[in-house]
Amino acid sequence: MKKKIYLYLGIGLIVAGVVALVLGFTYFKNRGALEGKFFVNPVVMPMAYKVYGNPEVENGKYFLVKAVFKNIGKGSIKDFTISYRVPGYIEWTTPVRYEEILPNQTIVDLFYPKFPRKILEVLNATPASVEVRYRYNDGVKQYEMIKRKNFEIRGRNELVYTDMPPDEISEVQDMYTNVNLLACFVTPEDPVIKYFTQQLQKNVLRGTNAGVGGGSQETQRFMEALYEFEKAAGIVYGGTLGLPEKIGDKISAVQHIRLPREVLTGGAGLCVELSTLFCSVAESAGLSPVIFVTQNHAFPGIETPEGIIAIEATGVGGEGLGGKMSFEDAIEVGTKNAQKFLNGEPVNGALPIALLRINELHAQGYRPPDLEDDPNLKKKIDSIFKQVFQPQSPLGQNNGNYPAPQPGPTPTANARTYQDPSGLFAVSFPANWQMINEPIPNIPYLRAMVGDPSMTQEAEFYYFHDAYSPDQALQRLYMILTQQMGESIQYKPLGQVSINGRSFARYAGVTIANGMQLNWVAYFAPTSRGVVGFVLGSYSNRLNTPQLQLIKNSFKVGR
Amino acid sequence: MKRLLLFLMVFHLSLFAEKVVLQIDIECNEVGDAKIVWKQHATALQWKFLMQRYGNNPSLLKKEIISSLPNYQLSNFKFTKDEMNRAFTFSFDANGIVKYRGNGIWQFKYGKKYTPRKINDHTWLFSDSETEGNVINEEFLTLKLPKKVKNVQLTKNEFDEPVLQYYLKPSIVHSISIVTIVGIILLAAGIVLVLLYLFGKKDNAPA
Repeated sequence: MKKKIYLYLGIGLIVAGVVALVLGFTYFKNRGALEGKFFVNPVVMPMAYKVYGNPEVENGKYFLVKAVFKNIGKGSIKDFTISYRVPGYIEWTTPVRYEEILPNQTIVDLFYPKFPRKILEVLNATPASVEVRYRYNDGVKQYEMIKRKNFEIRGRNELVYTDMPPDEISEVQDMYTNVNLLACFVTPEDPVIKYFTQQLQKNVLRGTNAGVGGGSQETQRFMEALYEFEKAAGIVYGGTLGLPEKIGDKISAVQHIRLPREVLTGGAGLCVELSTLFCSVAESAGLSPVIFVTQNHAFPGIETPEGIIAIEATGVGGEGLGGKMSFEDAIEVGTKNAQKFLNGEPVNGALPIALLRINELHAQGYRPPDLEDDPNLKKKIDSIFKQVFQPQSPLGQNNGNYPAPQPGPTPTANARTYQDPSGLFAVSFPANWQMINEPIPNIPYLRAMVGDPSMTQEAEFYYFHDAYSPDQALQRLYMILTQQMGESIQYKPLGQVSINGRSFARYAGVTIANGMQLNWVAYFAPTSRGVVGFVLGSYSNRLNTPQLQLIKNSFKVGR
Repeated sequence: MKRLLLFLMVFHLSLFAEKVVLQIDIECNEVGDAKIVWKQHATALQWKFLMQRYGNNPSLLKKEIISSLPNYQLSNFKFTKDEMNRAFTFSFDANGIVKYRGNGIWQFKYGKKYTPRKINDHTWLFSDSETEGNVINEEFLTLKLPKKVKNVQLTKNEFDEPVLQYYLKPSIVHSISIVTIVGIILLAAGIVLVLLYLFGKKDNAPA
C-alpha cells in the first residue's frame, strides 16, 4: 500500500512538473522589459543641416536624438527595431534592427537626420518635433511604441555658438562649443560666389594661379584684389560687433549671420560676415582660408606653405571706424593680431577662441548647404563690376592701382528743424522725412523719431532726465528694448567725438527685431539736466548717407 | 577622449615641445558595458593647465566627455587627483560600449587610427600617436574582455569599420523562469518516486 502511494504521488508530481514546464516556457516565461530614455538636441541650425546628417563629424556629436534602452527584464528582448521621423521634413527612416537585447544589456541608438534643403526656408526660430518609433518582442508579446520630443529649428541665418546650458558655462571657451559650425557659413560652392570669383579673376586679377601653387606672393595678390574690390564696390563694415559677447548680465549666444552672397550683394557685413565672404571667395579660387575667432572679433587669413597671411577684413571701412585701411595696413593689422592669437595672447583685449581651417573643416563634414543659383544676384554682381569699372572709378581708370577711399557725404540742402520741448537740443533733418513725436509710449526717453520715405534709414532723438552719464543712459535704453520689447541688441562704445563743439560718447551696435537687422550709431552727451543724444540707424547698412550726416552735423545741445 | 587634452596642449603649449600620453583602461562585462578608467600623469606645465580648467570644475570634464562619446550611455563619474604626484584618475561607467549581434557574437568598434595588439586571450591594446605642432599625443587604450570570451578576432562590420569581434555565449540561467525551475524539480521528484515504486523493496505484507 505504501509503495502505491509512491506511484500515485510520483505520477502526480510528474504531471504537475510537466504543467509547470509548459507554463514556464509559455505564460510564465521570463520576459524582457525595456526602459527607454531619449535625449534630444534642443536646437537645429539650418545652415548646418549637412552636419546633423553626418555621424562622422566630431565623433557623432551633432545627433538629433540619442535613444538609450536598457533591458531591465529577466528575459531577452527580441527583434527590436527603431526608426525616426521629423514631421514636415523627414519621413520614417529605415528601421535599425537589434536582433536581441539581453537582460541588463543597454543599447544606444543615435539619429542623424538628413534634412532636406527646404530647411533653409526657415527664417525665424520655429518649433518642430521628432518622433521615435520602436517595436520589440518581450518573449511573449509584440509591442510598438511611438514617442514624440520637441526641438527648435533656428532661423537660416542664425548661429548658436554654444550647446552648453547657461548654468554649465564657466569659461569663455564654453560659449563657443559650436564655433566650428561657422565653417558652414563659408560657401565656396555657392553658384553666386563662384560666379563672383570668376569675374574677379577675369576682370581684376586678369588671371591668377594663386589656387594652384602660386605661392604666398600670388596669394597676396589675390587677397589684395579681393580686398580692394570690396572697397571699390562700397562694401562696408556694417556693425561693430562680430561675435556675441557679454552685455550687462546677459550672454548672447545666438548671432544672425548673413550668407556671403548676401554680404556681397547687400554691401555690408559684420566682421564675421566679411570673414566668411573672404573665405568663400578664397576657397572658391582653390586657396586654403582660415578664420581667427576671438572672444568678440573674427578676421580671415589664407594659409600658404610659408605660413598664414592674415588680413583685417573690416578695414574696408564703415561709419565711425576711422575710415578705410589700405591693403597694406589691413595686412599689417591682421598679421599683428594673428601673431598674438597664435601665441595665445589676447587680441585687442579679447581671448583667442579658435583658428578655423576652413578646408579641413569642410573635409571633416562641416559642409555648407547647397544654395540655389540666383540669376538676379548674378545680375547684381555684374552691376557692381560695372560700377567699379566705369571710367571715372579708380579701378576703371587704372586697373592694377587699387582705389582710393570714396568721397565723403554731401549734406542735403532742404531741411526741417526739430526743437525739443525741453530746450536741451535742436536738430535738422531732411525736409521729405516723416517725423513722429513721442512715438513709442514704452520708451519715455524717446522724444521724436524721423525716417526717410523708403523706411531704410531713421534717426531717434533722446532725452534721459534720470541718467547721469551716456553709459547709464544707453544701459536704460538697452534694458527697455531687450526686456520689455524683446529686441536683440549688441553694442559697444567707440570713444568720444566732438559735434558742434560738444563732446559726445559714441556707440555702435546692431538691433535685431522682427527678423530685421538695424545697424546703428548712437551719440550721447551729458548735460546739467540729464543726458541727450541721438541714434542714427539703417536697414541697408549704410550709415554715412548725406541725410544721416546732416542730422549728425546739425545736432546742437542747448544749455 | 584625446580631444580633451588636444585643446589644452595645442592651444596653450604650442611654444613648448610636449608629449602627452593618455592611458585609458576599458574593462568590459558580459553584457557589453564597461568601466573606463583614465589615469593621467602630467608634466608640471600640463598639470597647471589641467588644474586650471578642470581642477576645481571636474563637472566640466564630465560634460566634455559625455559630449565627445555620444555613442555610449555614461554614468557614475569619479574624479580623484593626487597633487603631490601630479596625477589624477577619472573613471566612469559606459553602457553599450560593445554591440551584441546575436548568436553570442559581440563587436567592439574602434577607430581606424588605432593599431590593435593582442596582449593575451582577453586583453588587447589599441595605440595611436599623432603630432600637433610641437605636441606629440600618444594614446593607449587597454581593452579587457570577460574571461569567458572565445574566438577573439579583428574584422570589419557591415559598414566596413574595424571591430574586435568575440564570442560569448549568453548565460541561459536568466532565460529560465522560476516556474520552469519548479516544474523541473517536480518532474524530477515525480520520476524518483515512480522509480522507487518500480525498483524498491517489495512490501512484506502478511499472507
